[in-house]
Amino acid sequence: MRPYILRRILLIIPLIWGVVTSVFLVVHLLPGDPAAVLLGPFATGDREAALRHMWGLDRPLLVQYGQYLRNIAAGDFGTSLLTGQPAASQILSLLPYTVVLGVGALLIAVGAGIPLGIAAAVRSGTAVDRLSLLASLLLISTPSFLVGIVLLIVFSGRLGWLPAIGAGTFARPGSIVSHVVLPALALSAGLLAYLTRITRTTLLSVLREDYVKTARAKGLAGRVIVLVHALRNAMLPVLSILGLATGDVVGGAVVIETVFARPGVGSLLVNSVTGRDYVQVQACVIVLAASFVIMNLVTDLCYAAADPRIQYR
Amino acid sequence: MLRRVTLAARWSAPLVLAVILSAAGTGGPAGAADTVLTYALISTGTSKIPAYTTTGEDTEIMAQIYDSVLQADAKTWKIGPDLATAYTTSSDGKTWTFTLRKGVKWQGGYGDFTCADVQFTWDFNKDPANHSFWQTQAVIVDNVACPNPYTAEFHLSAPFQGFIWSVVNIEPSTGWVLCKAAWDKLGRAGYEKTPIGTGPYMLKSLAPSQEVVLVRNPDYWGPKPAVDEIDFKVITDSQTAALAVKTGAVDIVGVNDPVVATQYEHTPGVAVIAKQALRTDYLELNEMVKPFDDVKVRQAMRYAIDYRGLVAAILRGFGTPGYAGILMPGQTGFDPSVNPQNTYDPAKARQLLKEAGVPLPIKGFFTTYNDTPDINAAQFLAANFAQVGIELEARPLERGTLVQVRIAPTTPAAVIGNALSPDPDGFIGAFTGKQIPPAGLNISRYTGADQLFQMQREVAGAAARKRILREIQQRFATDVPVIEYYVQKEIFFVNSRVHNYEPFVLFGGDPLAKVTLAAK
Repeated sequence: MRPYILRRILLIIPLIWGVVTSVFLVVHLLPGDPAAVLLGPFATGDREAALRHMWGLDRPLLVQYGQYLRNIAAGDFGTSLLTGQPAASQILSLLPYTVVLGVGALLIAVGAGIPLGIAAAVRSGTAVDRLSLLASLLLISTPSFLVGIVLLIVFSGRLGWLPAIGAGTFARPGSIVSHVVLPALALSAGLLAYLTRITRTTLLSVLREDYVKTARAKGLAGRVIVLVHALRNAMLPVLSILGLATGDVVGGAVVIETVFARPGVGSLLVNSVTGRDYVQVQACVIVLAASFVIMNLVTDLCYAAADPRIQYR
Repeated sequence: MLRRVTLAARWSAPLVLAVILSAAGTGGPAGAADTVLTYALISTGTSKIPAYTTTGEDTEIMAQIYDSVLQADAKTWKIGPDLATAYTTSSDGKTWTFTLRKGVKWQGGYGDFTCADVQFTWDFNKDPANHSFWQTQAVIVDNVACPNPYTAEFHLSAPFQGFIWSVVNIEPSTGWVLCKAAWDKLGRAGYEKTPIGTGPYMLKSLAPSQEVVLVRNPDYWGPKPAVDEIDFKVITDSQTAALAVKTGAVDIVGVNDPVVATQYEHTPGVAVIAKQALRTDYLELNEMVKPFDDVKVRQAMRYAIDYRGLVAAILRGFGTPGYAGILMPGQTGFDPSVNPQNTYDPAKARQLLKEAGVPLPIKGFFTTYNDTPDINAAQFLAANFAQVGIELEARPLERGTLVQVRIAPTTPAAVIGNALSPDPDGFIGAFTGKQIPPAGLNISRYTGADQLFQMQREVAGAAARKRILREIQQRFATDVPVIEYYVQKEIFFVNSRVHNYEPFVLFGGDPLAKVTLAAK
């Protein structure tokens, strides 16, 4: 296993290089000029040229690319064109909020989705099963921003139970928790519904297996059969989906960050693309790409842990 | 059938909920919450040095940190004292002498404000090596002389009656004064981290994309502000911002969505302030693209728009129709006798198109911004034009693409939104030959007012300048390089605990030092 893990970690380097090169080319080939965007209605040819020169954007693309790779190798992610702040420090200051939101959403989705899926499977055909199907369809069909707005209006606007905006401060962990509840609920809604359905389907399929019938015949308790014997096998497809869902959670976080006025890397990336802040876009993409690779590795390792038949070499 | 499976989480759910709700009580600010004013912006801006930013968010923040030579009153727009207490102009209009206020201290312990700082600021903006965004505005000043520490003499290269607006607290930001001693010590990077001004507030912290916090300047020369701290938070969505004001999470927000404004107009605890501003949206018609080079076609397009319907439908009444001669009430020289509000007359539009003899339908497109009010306005315009046989497709584009496509020589027309100065020089200048893209945003490529523009700059006497401005308005009304379709009101949501708030709807910052707060 260790050589496998090492190989996967080393593979991050060429993968990141590929991502960086692709993003570099794409952002520079996009229509639009960061100088013109920054200057807005005060844009003149002279001012734009002066800014581009200051940013080094008037050099040949290959020269810019070479300089960029050298900087990345030295750990320098560059300076944001729009804010003049180091791109890395902007990401680092916002990453914790995105992680909190993403982890919160995943915890809710997993913590509620899997148990609900189990309940729907063991009570297949009953009112519980039908209710969970209806709820799942509703949550899958409703865009996360709409869920967020409704939660905001009800729990913050009308009831005043939870804060409307912001992310709290890590100096007061309670504020982090209170500020993430509604956004995490909104972000988790679709994934929760999906996990419910997948867990139900795979568990139902496993519960029909011969070894389960054997376990039942041996007189084992229902809870033991489901949670100890059947669930582990049913979890393999769910694990795969969870690994992929991490990307969806980060992507969906952008919308939720806007609705709840939360800081985050998603919003930073969107604003940087809109403002043609090439440096910040590239830095954000590197961080996100590395995150996806690591999450996929973790998913594979969880897979191996869940199924001893799987061995990586 | 399997026995019921007991979910372990069932018993723990109430416990978890109790933890969350108890934590909810810790969400508010600690300490002296009643003297913290929370103001929502759509971003934390790009720079806190006036020379390097054009964003409204930076202007709002910088207006609390810096003072300007003179200042425009938020309510009346009249220019009055700030760092200068009085001024005179020479008979040839080329020398402006300002008497500077004594005893004004720079923040951060950088000593007293003097003429040397004013001189430094103008030299800084003028020097091409500094890449100031306002370099082309600043070069009208040949030099700033300091006959003594509290007298600043501006020597202009040519007379310019509108110059007074270059030293006040609005964009372009040549009015705000930088501290020479601080710049010499800190350099640009240091000044960016710690902007030094003489204003009522100082920068306490800046978390990009999150919030900017200002604290009261203990050495401020003016009346002590009632509010200890101003917390600028980032909220990009209008609905979220409105809800935040209602719940008291935010005290003040500017709202650019009239639909949201009408939803909250009668909400308890929220005051909706709508103030007529010099903020306009206009359609520039590219005279390089046929048949928009035909003046009758342009005139027809101006008659084809239902302006009152547009204001009612898109602005929900928060605005007025635009003006034929582009200047508007509140601007120097505005003359309604030659510059009336645009009127809707589709029959006249069809008549003009017939006289022009162009084959119909005329096809083309126009670019616009991709936010909801602009998209809706563009669709309204397209529908109006289609009724008279002009099929212009509205193309809302995201900003990065928009700035490139709208100046392309083949783009027939483009919507521009602009916040204007009471002095019309800058606005008229935007439609001169020197501003034809890529040099500027004269997308219409109009040069019909170039000579008059130069004359109004250089003529001596207010009356003479007014006569030339009148002629400029007549020229625009006749030639129609631009169709100004509405002039907007700026809308603000203000929590009921806020008192003495007067929004500053010119492109400057609100006088937040005058705001008082009732206890929450």
